[in-house]
Amino acid sequence: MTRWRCRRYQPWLVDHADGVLHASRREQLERHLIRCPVCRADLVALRDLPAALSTSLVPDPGDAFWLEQRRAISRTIRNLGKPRHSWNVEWIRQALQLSLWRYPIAATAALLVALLVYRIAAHPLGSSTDSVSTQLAQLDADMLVTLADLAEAVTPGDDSLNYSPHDDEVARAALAAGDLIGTHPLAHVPDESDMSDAELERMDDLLGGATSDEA
Amino acid sequence: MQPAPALEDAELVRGTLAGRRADFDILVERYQKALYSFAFRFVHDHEQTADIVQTTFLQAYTRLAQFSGRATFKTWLHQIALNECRQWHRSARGRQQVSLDDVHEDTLTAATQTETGSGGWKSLLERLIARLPLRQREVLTLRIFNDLPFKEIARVEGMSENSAKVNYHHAITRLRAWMHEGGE
Repeated sequence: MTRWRCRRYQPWLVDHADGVLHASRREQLERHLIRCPVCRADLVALRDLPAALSTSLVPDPGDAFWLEQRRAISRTIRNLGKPRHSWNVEWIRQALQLSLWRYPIAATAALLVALLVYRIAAHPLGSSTDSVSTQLAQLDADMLVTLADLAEAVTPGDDSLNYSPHDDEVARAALAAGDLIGTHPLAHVPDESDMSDAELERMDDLLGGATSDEA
Repeated sequence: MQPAPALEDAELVRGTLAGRRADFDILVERYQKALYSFAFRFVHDHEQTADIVQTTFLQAYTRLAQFSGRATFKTWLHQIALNECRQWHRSARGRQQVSLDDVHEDTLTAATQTETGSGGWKSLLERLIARLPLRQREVLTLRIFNDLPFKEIARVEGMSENSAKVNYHHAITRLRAWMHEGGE
């Protein structure tokens, strides 16, 4: 029966028998061996038994068998065709390891990732609201009128659409018109309540006080 | 004229993947006997062993592109052979085979005494090895008969290097105990 405290020495005994145990562990093991007859006996077995076991050989089926088996395998693989390459992660890893360009490639990849992260942080995907109001505010009065006219054409018969570009429907129509003339293919339009005072004032200025009149 | 230096396994694998099937023939010749002796210790039947060796090489050929090179080709090949042996053990034919694991210890001791007396030393060792638990037998066989280092054995077995050494330790000490019992 192996004692519990001897268990930690089992792999060390194997290495010691093979002559590959690290010096610091060897000292520790040798101190243990002085007082442990079980491990001493194990060490003797680990040293002597493999040599005795290696004399045990399986029966040799003979040269004719080896030759015939090689021929059979060779015939079969010729019928199988060429083994197919698979592009897996491991293959890419190996290719990179072998390549002299691995550091430049890694640096470029890191730079691209950093740029992507910066782009997402600076312009989050869900922030189209701000860009719509900003871009609408940047349009001059003539352009807004043109867009509103186009919007009216898109949604005929609705008088309330006239000259209220911060109104949801007008803005959507204006954006649709913008799409038509190839300007701003944007998805979402802000509510008036989302706009800052400065934006509303600027819109008032552009539209000659239309917003104030409505209010 | 000096003989041409033997090509490395990795080079032969690359050659095979590039379409040079003769390179794979060299690999077969190089590892055929090692795989046979490995498989025979699990199967104990010539025909079955020959089948396992052939299937192992065919599997290796068809999956050669998946060989990553992290382990040596020899280790990878033994891993495939080991899977084939395990599959054979699970199969109906493997279960039908009389397992030495099932033989009662007293019976085995009597048998070993008889065989020692009749000079069947090698046969006795084979019987004792066959009686080891499968995992210990695998580790012992890979270490002693197929000369794999523990690091590679750990890869083949899917265990840590430490576990491989502990299994080997158990196999050796168990064999020693059985041999003492048989010789008394």
